[in-house]
Amino acid sequence: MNKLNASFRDPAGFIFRDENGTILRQVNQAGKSDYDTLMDSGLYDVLSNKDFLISHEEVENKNSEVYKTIKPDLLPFISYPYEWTFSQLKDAALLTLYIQKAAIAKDVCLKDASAYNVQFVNGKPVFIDTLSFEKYVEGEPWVAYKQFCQHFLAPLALAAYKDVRCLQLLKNFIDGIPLDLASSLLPRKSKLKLSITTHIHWHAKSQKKHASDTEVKAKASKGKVSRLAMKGLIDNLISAVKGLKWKPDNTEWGEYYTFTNYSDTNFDRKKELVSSYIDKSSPKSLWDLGANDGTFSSIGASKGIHTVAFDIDPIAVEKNYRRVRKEGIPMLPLQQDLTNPTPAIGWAHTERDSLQMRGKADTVMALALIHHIAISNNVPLERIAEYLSKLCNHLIIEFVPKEDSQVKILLATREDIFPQYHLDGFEQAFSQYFDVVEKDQVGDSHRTLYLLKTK
Amino acid sequence: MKLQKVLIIIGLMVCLDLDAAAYLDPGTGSYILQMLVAGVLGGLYAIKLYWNKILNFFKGTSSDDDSLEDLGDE
Repeated sequence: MNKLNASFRDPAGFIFRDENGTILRQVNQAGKSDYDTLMDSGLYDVLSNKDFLISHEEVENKNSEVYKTIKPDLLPFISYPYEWTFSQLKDAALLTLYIQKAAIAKDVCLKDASAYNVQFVNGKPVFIDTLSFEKYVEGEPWVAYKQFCQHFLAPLALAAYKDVRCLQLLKNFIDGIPLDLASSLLPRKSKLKLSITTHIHWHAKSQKKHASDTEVKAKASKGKVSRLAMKGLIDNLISAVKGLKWKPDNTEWGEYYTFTNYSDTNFDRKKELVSSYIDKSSPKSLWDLGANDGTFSSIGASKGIHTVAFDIDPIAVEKNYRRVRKEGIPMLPLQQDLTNPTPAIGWAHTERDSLQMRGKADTVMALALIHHIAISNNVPLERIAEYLSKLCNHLIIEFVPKEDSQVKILLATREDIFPQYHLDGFEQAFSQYFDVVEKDQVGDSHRTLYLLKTK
Repeated sequence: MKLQKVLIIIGLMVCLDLDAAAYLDPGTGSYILQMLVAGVLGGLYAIKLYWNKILNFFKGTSSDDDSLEDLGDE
């Protein structure tokens, strides 16, 4: 049994991979009452029918000391909150609150509200932790209130009121943004919003005030929050989350323009080539690095291939997510800075995987990307080839030469210290790690497209 | 703040004995704040529900406040 490290905190059970590689969840005897509460209350049926909660089937138990072994639906790709765009985190927050609301109605309660309990499938958030439920005892406060505020409300408020890049703080704070930090970073105008004042500013003050107050601590554990008060709290959090909006520079999403220097004919030719290269490599999983708003990723997704569309620009990712959510296609837009890819974080670096650990993808696309890495970030071509070979079995890559207007712009303000940056240099560097399967010039542009296979 | 202290005392006076066996640490300050504000939010929620009932009565529609909402576009 290969225990996966993302789920070791909850004594109710854990995720593991069996000898055939199947992902299963063990329900310990300690988790019996929680699991039965979810299943017997009817909440599981309500939530899974609406695709709010991941579906599972009970499988044969190989260990009699274990209460149950369940097989959840397979997720095509695990992503993390610090890779999500604003609306992804917002949808995940609302999903968590809607689930808590539905749970209370059935005398069940969410015992945690971690953003890591949510994943995205076909543009929709899905709650994946079947063991996050427990029996609701009327009068008991919501044990996950603090966690909800740290994982969702604080980063969303910081993104909405301050800067969307604050979402990246989640990479540093694995259990959500500390509320005193959020409170100190938020601008004064956030205090005009009563829900933000209550759940972040007052919340942070209350935490500070009672941090080492043992007398109050003993009494607080005997606190009472009525059912109506619990519903009011959840309803208020829903309104608070719904009220947070991010609209960069007041531009309309549909109008957000991403530059391309291709003529229409060459652009269509590039689409044709990419489509035929995808067919030739026949992937089950496709990663598009530097996907922009997902124009080329859509070619893979439209063929039914699960496609992860990574881009560094949060606006492009947001625009793409809004489209994917509407169309329900098998694509996952994520924010990713390839010059500093997602690291492995958490306890012993094993709780949340790095980008590379979540590979290899069958096929990786790197279109109109290499000049940004090689010239803007001074990464030698050989190193780019080496890293990309670790991420995939097939690579669809576009070489953008110095004659291209986009590269000219990059070189306009700096010294050209890249003597190896030409087609031969590119082929030489990549031939150490890849074999060429196909190679085509893109129409009458300066650019060349390659389909490569990892050696 | 005097008012806050009074509210805390009132909050703690109406407390019941409950067993907390959660694996998550809810945080003392978080619990106290929640106990203080949830009562008020519950009151507001009750008013909202009644208001919706009145509106629904005049509109001739009905609604279930426990129904599951949809996640959708803004």
